[in-house]
Amino acid sequence: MTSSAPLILVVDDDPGILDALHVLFESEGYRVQTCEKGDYVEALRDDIGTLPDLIVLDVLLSGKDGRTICRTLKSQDATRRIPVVMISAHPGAEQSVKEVGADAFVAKPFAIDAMLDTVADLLSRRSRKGSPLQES
Amino acid sequence: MHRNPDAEVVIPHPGVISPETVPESVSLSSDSVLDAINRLDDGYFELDAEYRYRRVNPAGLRMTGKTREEILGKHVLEVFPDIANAAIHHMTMRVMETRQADSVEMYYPPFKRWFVNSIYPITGGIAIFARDINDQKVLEHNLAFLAEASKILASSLDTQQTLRTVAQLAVPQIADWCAIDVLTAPRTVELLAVAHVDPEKVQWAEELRQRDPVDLDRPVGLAKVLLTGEPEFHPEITDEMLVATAKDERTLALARSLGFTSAMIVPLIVQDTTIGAITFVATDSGRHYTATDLRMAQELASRAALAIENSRLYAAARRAVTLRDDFIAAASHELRTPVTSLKVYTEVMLRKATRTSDEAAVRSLQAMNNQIDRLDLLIADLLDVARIESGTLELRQEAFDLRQLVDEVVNVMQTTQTKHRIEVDGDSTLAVVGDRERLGQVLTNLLSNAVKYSPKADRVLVRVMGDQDHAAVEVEDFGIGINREHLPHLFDRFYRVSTPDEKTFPGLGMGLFIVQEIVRRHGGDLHVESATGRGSCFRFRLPARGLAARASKAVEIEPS
Repeated sequence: MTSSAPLILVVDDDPGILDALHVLFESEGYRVQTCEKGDYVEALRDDIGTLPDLIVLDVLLSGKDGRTICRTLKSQDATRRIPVVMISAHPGAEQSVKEVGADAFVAKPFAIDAMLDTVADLLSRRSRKGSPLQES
Repeated sequence: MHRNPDAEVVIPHPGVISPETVPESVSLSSDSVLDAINRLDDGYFELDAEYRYRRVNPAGLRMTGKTREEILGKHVLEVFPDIANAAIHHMTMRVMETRQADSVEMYYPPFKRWFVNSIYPITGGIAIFARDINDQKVLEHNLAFLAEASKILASSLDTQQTLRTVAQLAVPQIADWCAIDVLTAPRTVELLAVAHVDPEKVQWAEELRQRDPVDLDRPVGLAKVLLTGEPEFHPEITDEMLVATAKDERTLALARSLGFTSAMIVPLIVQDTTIGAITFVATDSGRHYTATDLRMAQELASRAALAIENSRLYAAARRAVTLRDDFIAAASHELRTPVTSLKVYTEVMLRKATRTSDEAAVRSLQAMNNQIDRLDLLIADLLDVARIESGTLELRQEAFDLRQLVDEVVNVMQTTQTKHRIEVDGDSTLAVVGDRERLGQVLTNLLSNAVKYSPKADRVLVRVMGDQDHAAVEVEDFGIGINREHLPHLFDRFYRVSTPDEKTFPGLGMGLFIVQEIVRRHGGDLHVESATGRGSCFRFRLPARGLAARASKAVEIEPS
């Protein structure tokens, strides 16, 4: 784990999933930040410290729809370029998360290979482009 | 109790004695015959050729409420001027002229009763036998009403609505005013339905109830019925009765204006508990209820109570089923989350162990991972069952090669099977339209069953077959087979084949239920052939046109 390793922010209201993903990403050398509530993510602005390089966001958060958060992130200049991977136990959510601008969807329960591949792919695309992603 | 027709009602009557059997112009005057006539329960009237009453028996006098003097020697129209244009009079004249006996069923409004009149030619005139068939007609009428009411009661499980319909049906057939009350709480009476022949008076009836609500501490009328479960029967309602029961002057005036003549209140009893009552009141029609009417009312109440009981039982059963389905849905969802994180932890450790070549750890973690996968499959099945029950199992429609899917699934299965060789045969390509992933689940399920239930065999056969109408896949094993008695229930939800010697096969009875649902939702069907000790062959067929044709196909297969 180095300071130059990409920072992944994981948002899920289930502490079990949150911690498992924390362990998973950390074991692969990423820096990880976790958050049970969506409010913090929506409040991400330029002026708030270090922005994450990628966000893993649950669709159904207690009290907040992850899709609303995703739409907010994709509408703010500061956060628009951050890739968002949305996760859900409901396979039917795939279509709706694409509509709010999510970059990828991974259905729960996920094989960790699929999750790691998706994350690695989005991070490498982002670093190659080096410019803000187009809003979809 | 009939609704008075405005005019006399005439119905052709089959005849008490057919005309042919009556000799022309019988003379009925010998002493023994006259004695018999006088003892008859039927009314007997003799008319001479000028239509004057020549003879009448005691029953005839009772029936008409007239004296011998008022009748004998008088012209028929002098005694009954109102029948001049009625069918009975025309028939009387016809029999007089043609000398052919005849009979007619009639309702005579002044008496408010039904009769059957048989008219015979006799020497010098005619004889009329009049039989009061009112009770029989009332019974027929009541039975017809009951049949209609029963049909309505059985037609829906919405009790409130059906009871309202029954109240409306009762008016005007049985009552001028019908009310249905139910006990909604131990001491609360709710007027569920009220119907009146005169719709304007429904309001009055409701007002009367508001002014004089049912007081369970004052056990009269409805309150008494609700408390005792015994019917109240008032063939005659007198003004004194109204005075005695009215709460105040205003209520009395209102009650008087409604013009009660007769009433009956019958309890609605469900499982030995009085839950309400039906009130029948006669007003404008001037009818008076009889014991026959009371029996009918009680019969109606018991059928209504049965309908209420059925609907309550149904609602309770529905609640239990919903509760169970909700529980399954919630439980499987709640189970899935910890299993998901458990799997992530295990795989992270497994990767680490693999990297460090810690083979003992790899073996244990691999075994753990397999068990987690098993657990996850069970949870996935539970979720599928919940989705099927709630109608939220979604199917995709995509064109794909069924044979290719079979090969893929078989290859995956084969990697974990060392004992069984899975052989695929048949069409090398077979285009279908459907949900590829769900059909893969069907194949996986059938294949793992085939392996699981043939522990001593070393192969499983898979055949892919297509023709113009269908695409079919057969999975055949050479295992223990299925006892004939289990076959009809094999695809039922949670059904498990359990015989002493089959204890070694665990499961929750969800797999084949899900398989069948997926196949059926594709418009297809699932069949099994099996012989104990020889093995089983499961075959599912999909319509060749795939899901596109499902709509019309499904109507034939699943009328629901």
